[in-house]
Amino acid sequence: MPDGFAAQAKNLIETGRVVTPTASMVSKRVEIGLPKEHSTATEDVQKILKKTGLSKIIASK
Amino acid sequence: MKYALFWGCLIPAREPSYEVSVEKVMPAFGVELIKMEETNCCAPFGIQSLDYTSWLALAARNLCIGEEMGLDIMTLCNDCYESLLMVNTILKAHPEIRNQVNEILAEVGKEYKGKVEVKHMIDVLYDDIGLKKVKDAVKKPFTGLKVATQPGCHLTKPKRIHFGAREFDALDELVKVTGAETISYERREMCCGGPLRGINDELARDVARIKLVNMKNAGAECIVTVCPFCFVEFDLGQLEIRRHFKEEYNLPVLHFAELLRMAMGMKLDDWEIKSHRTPLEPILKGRLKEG
Repeated sequence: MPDGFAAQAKNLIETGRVVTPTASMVSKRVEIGLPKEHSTATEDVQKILKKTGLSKIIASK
Repeated sequence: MKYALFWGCLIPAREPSYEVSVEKVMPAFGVELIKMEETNCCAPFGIQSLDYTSWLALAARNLCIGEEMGLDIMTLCNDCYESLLMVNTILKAHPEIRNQVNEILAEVGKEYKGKVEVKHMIDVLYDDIGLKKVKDAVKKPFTGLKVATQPGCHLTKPKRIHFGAREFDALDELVKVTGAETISYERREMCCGGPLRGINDELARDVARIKLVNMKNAGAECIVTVCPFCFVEFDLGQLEIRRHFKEEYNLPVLHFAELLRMAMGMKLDDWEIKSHRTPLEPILKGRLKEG
């Protein structure tokens, strides 16, 4: 498994996203009047990936 | 016109100027964008290659949200577009796969019914709004600006699902109504190299360089894309190529929504101009004030 894909999957399991804003981007978003971030159903992602088995595969990496 | 808006991961995390430009441009054409709440990652090609069923289920969960809103979905990111469009197509065509996915979605209280369509912003501008209305909104045309367009792979492939060549032409035609010229360059349909990041960074950089060389040789003054991954690859990538190869291409990179916004007479804010790593100034003459 390419490291880049494993990193994407790990981030997905932890946050519900493959890419998340840095702290400085969150500050910038607030400064320019955008919401800090868009809402994410992280728990649902975790439940789905537990059911499909991807969480287990990534945890073993 | 009303759409459920799917922001995806990369644009809010890295490219807020794209986000702001879409929010300024689309309402001007009477498009109402209702943000989809409590979404998840679209599950791009990396996840698809790791586990096909996870990809189907994650994308389907997002499709369910559009169905619950009673609206078709508009995406801004090519990867989101490909994921949602492909999964929507597969689940509509294969009831047995749909049933399997719905068993997984039951864990999170969702059910995919197959009552939603997925469009990219380009589809909405080209098909639903139309070139004439877009052209009529242009107040400060980019007359004579030579643009290399980069529609991006996932807007156009696989061709059995996408419109393919039509979507290459759609972006070119939309760029032309802003007054700019689109140039023909070698290997226009080739990938930007971005998907190779994290797998083979050296090859990704080489692929981006080939495209930049071809664009520059064909006389391009800037690059216009609708893909946030292509944007990063060319905008930030030019810095890496300069460091590694000691070569300068100086090709500003714009999202199409930014180009259209400026052509409509709206300026980019200072922070937006500075957010571009390859300086935009060469193409901003006379565009630093509204009107």
